[in-house]
Amino acid sequence: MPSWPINQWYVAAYSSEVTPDGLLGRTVCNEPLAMYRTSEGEPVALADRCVHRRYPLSMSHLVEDQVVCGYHGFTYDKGGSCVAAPGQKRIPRTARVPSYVLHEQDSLVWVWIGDNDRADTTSVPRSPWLDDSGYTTVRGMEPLKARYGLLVDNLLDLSHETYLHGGYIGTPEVAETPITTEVDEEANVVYVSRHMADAACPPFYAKSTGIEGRITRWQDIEYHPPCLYLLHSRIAPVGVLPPEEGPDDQAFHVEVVYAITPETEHSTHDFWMVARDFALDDDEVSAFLAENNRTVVLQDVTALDVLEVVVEGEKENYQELSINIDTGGLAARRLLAKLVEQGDPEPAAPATPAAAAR
Amino acid sequence: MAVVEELERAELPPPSRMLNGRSVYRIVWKLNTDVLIGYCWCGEAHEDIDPIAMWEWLLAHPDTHDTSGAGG
Repeated sequence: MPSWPINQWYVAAYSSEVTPDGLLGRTVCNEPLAMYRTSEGEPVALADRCVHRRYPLSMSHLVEDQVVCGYHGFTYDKGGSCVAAPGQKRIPRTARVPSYVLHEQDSLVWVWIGDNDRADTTSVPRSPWLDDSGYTTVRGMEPLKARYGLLVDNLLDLSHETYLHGGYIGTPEVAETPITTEVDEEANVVYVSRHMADAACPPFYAKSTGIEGRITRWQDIEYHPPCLYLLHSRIAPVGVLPPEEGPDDQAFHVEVVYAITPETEHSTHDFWMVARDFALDDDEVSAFLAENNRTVVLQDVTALDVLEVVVEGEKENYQELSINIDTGGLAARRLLAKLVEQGDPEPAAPATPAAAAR
Repeated sequence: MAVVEELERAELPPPSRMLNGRSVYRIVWKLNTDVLIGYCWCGEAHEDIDPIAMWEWLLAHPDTHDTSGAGG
């Protein structure tokens, strides 16, 4: 059994990566995919192996919305059926490659990993800021040579910002401020909240917002396992709270989104996005946030790549230690374990609430 | 056994409840202490200083619930 849940949606690509101009090869949950977009705009994912001699279709060519294998010319339609074989008229009945169910939403291309008949597009979690004219988004993707669970641990406990990301997004208050954790057992959501009333403003936010002096900084994490992680970040001059009514327009809002997509048991696609509701047309702010966030992500990548080697090499039954800051991370691990066991895309809808919590 | 209403709000960090589902567990870190307070979705609370023990308590707790419905 893989370490990730099956019968789940995973982000396979940014919408902008899937084009009619060529094929994109990417492995998701040990499944090699070849992705492209038809001339009508529909994203397509086929298994990235020609049925003939296994040549990767991602290294092949697109001709009129069909994939022509770059080795011997086997030609597949968007459903994976072979429509032409070289040198002969008869097409063997078994000449087809598996196709995957995709769903494009919020500038992301999601792939269903599991039984195609069970794919339910209504269960794809949302991140609407990424495709909203009221926000400007910068984004990237870094390959991680570490299991996806290490990135989940990392993102669910932001106290590491103080130590790993000092000088960028970390200040002493992050590690010092208590968190509140909630878990919705039926919807499978983990929420971790850290509200800093009076904190130093790290360069990441000082330079992008122009705030001078101390801030009220809120970090509200919403994790929809297995793949989507949302960090609702609110930054305001110290003491400025949302009004009882009306828009919270005296604060700056940054929606930090991660898609945590397993590639193999020991590697992960680390998709990162930063959407903001201020300085929308300011290219300098965009460039600054993109460069700085990438630096922060790469600091995590370096640490997690090392951790992967450590974990792979450790003795059996190594006993780690958990403390209060790990309350949210432990909740995420438990929900993931539950989803792995269920292999079930449905939010758990048990007959009784008592059963839901087991 | 404490219940939500009996706890001093001033001892707990903001915000108050965030998720709105029927079956939401909540663990709050009591301000200026190392103590966690866990609330089952039925409203019962438990204090602990170990998050693993806290989750074990929360997950075991519903076994004692009246299974006729949520709330309590």
